[in-house]
Amino acid sequence: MINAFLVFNGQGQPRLTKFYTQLDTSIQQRLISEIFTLVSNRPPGSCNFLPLPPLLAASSTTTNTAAHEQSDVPSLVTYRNYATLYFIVISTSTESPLALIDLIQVYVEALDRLFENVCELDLIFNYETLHATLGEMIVGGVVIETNMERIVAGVRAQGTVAKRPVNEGRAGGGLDCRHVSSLFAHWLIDRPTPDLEFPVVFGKDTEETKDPFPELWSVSFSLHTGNG
Amino acid sequence: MFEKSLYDLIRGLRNHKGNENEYIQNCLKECRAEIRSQDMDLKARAVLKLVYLEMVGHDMSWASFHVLEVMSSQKYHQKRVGYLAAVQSFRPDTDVSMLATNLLKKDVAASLPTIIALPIAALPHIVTPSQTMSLLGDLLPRLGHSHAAIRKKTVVTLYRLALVYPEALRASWPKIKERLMDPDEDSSVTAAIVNVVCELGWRRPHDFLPLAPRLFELLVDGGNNWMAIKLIKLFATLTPLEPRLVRKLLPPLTNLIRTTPAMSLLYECINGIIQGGILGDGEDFSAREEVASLCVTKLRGMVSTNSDPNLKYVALLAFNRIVVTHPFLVAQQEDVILECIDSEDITIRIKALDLVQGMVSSDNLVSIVSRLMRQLKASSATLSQQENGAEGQDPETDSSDETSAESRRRHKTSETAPPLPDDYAVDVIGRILRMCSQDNYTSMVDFDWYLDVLTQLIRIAPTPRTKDLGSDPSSPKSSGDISEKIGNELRNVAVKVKAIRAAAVRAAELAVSRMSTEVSSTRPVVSGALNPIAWVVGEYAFQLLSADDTLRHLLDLVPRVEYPEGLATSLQAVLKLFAYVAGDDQTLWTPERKSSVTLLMARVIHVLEPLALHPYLEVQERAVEFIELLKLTAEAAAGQAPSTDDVDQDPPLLLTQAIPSLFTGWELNSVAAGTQQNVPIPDDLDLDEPIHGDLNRLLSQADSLMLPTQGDDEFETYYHHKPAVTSMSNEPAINRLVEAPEEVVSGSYQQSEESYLDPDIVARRKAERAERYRDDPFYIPDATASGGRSTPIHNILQKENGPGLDIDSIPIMQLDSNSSGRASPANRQQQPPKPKPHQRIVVAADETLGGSGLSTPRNYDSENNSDTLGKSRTSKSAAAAKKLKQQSLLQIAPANLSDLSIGDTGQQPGGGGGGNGLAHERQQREEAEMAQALKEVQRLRLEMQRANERIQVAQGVPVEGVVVAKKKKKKVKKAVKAAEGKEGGEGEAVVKGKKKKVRRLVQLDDGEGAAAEGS
Repeated sequence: MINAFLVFNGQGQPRLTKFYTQLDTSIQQRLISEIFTLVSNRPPGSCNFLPLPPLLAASSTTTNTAAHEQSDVPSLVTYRNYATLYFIVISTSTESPLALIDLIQVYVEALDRLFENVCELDLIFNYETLHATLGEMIVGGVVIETNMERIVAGVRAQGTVAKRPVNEGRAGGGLDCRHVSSLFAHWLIDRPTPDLEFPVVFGKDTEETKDPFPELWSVSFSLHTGNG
Repeated sequence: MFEKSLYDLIRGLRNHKGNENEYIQNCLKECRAEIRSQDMDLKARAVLKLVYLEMVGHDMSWASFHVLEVMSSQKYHQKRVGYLAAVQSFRPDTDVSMLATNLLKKDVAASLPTIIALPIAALPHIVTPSQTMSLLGDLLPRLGHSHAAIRKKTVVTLYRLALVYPEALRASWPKIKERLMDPDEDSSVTAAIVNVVCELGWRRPHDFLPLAPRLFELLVDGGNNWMAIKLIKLFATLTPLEPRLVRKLLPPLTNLIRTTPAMSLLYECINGIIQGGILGDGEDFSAREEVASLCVTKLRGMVSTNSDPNLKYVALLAFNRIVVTHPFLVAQQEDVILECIDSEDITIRIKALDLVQGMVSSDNLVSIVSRLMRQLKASSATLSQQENGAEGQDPETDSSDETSAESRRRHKTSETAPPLPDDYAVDVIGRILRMCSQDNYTSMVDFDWYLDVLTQLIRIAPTPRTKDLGSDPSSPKSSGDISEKIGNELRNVAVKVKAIRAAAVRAAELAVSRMSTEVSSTRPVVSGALNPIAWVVGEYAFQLLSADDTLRHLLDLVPRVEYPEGLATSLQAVLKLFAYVAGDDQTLWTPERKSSVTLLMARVIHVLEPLALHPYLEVQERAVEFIELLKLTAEAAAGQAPSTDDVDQDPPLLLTQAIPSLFTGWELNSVAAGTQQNVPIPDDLDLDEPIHGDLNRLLSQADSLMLPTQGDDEFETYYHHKPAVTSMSNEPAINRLVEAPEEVVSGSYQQSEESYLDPDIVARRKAERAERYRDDPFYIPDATASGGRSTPIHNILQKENGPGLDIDSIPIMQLDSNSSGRASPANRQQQPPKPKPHQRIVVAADETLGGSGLSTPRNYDSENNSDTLGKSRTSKSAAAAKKLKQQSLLQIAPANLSDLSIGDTGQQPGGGGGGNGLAHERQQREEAEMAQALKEVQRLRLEMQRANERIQVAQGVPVEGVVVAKKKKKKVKKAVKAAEGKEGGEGEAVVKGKKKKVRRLVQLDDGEGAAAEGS
């Protein structure tokens, strides 16, 4: 299951925190700052998985004896960076690491649809919408939806999504106005959705290993055009 | 009065850069006022602001009651805020959540789907076991709601309820199953159910075997990739129970592997094959062989150098799983895996290291450790550069909003918390030590090399941060430990491997001198390595190159040692060294000797004296003892006239006999961890008894004793064996048989060694090698280094000739032996290097006491082993208790879900069935009883209060007193008792009677409370 979903910016200021277990505010903050330290020290071109932060590592090393217990312990920290924002998922080993990367992508794209060219400012001022969107995807740590249309429809059903206030960008110094989507737009042109929703097609002979954009794998390696 | 909205709050934050904290405190104050307002809009707004501030780290638990109020609002947008606040701020100890039950029931039963969704999504966060059963009845019908969105959320919520209260699953599972089996069900609901089943699957795989056909259908028909991944994961837990599934699964899985365009699905297919145990074992060998090779080649492709780092990482994860069952398959990939150790990405490195640790053998140990050492060296070099360079540079945050206090705090934490490089370095060093010392050094071929590695490690080990030690007790392995671990290794080698002891002692000597000279004389010594190293120098003082110098260095170090343990050991070592240096009873008591010894003693006493008042008792005791002893000796030395040309005088016996005898005796061997505790305490041991009644008389007697005179010859021979020679020639012949590692490893080995060892270590190593082979006809020394003591001339040569030419790799030795035709050595050379030299090095095993049974050779091993041993020994229930205690952060408390069976009555595995339908009813019955009891309690409480009031009216006691007493429920009994006694004395019989009644009621009340909690 998913233990926590976090969003924070390049300075480590949280934009969204969702813990699927009850946790003390102070421990939440410590965890966030530990993960931020880890995430901000990543060299470019490294993978989207973090080593366990000390808080989690301490607790997991003591219980790593039985395989049974292992599936219940948060053991995977997946992150993605868009413009000024970091999206983090903490999960147990029962989740698929690569699929989580896609899940974050789905979330960001859903936000992008809702806000039309989402940027950090939108997230700051419409933080209820952030929660609502996440609530359409994950309930109680279990993923319930990966289809973009349904997610967006679910959020819209709850009320209108406010637009970002005009002129707010100037006050904020501009950094957080960078559109999140501007960073991934160029590889989304041909690939409208992450492949979580793609039907599994049997017997179809595609060029299996050839990725049309191999150089982009490091960010999103599994968004393929090859729709069946 | 103008109220702020969340929007204003955020704007304000952004406009108050620099004094955000003050601003936030003001806002919190306003919120406190607003939240008490009668205006629901205002209240909701305040709650929303608090939720926002909670995210930034400001506790809002005080507002939980108001959150509840907002939750119960009639307006949807306010209700939504309330639910959000509940999700974000309710903690296990939030007691108002009990009050929410009716509200939740009402909202779950609402007509608007948007309202229904609110409690359903919030329940996983806030539900308590006692609420579960009463809510279950309202939730179950929601599985049949017309909106798919509600159905899928309900499924997940039911699963989370089952985690807190397993019985809930028994009631809900039939309905969930019905949904799963329904082919017309909305695909996203099916996917949600599959997600839930997958989560339940690994807890109780047996119960889900009957679902296999339907799940298989879903996998083949395909829905979305996320669901396919979950299905594969689920099947991986099912196949071990139902081997027939393997044959069924293999075609679709291989097909998926070959065709799917989604990398995540491809990986999970491979992973499923691995985890499901489909690799290898079994009847259909050729097909499985094919699958195995397919998987492994795919994984290999993922790991290989140019691939995407994410794929590298997950492939390593997969290898980590394969290595448990099929180590040979992983061993074939050693080359690519080793490449990953050098990856710049720490996550990948750590995973690769996990893998490599299990693959260590005597063949690859050196090359693996060399890689790691090179990394460490490089990182420590860059680190020191950074420290010098970027000290004053303040990482200015151009934060967009939020408090500066926040960011400041963050900076502080990132400073105090060990930054990653250190953490990683500590981890790597620990792994190196573990790899090398595995199974009492079975993989170790070349101990000389190991000593060099240890020497290097002591230098580059991250220095511990003292403030961390105090402030962060949760991290068990601080960096202070690691340098001590390195030192311990050095000590272990010195104790266990006699053949190499001399070299180990010299390595320790080197480390001590380095510590005293290289660290600036004002800075305190913090390295934990000093402790074991000082012990080695002291214990094996006779093997030191120069005991005088070492003593001097140690004396320099002592005042600066920070850790009391290290200090205590150092003191002991100082006296041992002193005893060795000054206690020579063969030399004449010449005037020179007398003055030098007196000076030395004065010096030692000077160093020790401040420590006589040390707060750490062990240090204090030793310091006091040694000071007194030395003062006594100094007196004796001053009294003893030096020998002149005419009269030969012996040195004072206190110096030559008494002090050295304190430290000589049996040789110390390594003792297995835990054995010490098995030593029985002698019955006649009385610790209060003085050791000797009259020690002074004894000493003076010893002074007057005469020693037999020594012959001149002995005198002479002794001189010829003075220290410098000892260490070399004392080395047993066996050591010379240990061929230098060039023969074991490839020629490039030497070159690589230089890349991670400091030049001086390499030079020393070279010199030693040259020394050892000086008389060896099979070894051609460097022409330039004819003196034996070579300089790093080798390096220069190599540099000039370029890396392509490696002198040492030219097989001169074999040519030489062949042409000269010496039979025996030549044969030995030509033999394949099967009889490993390391087999001839005797590594002493740990000593154990009979009956102690399981003893573990090494500290680190014993840590690991004791864990597993403990596990196996403890009974199941104890293990369960342990599990609870060790529960990890973020982990949901799993009620014993795995003990619950949810299967249909027909397919129930084993007992435990009985009345599974009854449980729900029983629960409801109990609930009714509970309600009844609560009512009763309420009634009694009221009665009690009325009785109290009557008493107070009668006595004129202020009401407040009673209120206080009521708050402290647990103390009431005592208080009442005391009151009783007092009042009894006053003789107010009526009141006493009433009070008694009160006590009874209170007890009743407590009992009920416990019962309510217990259920």
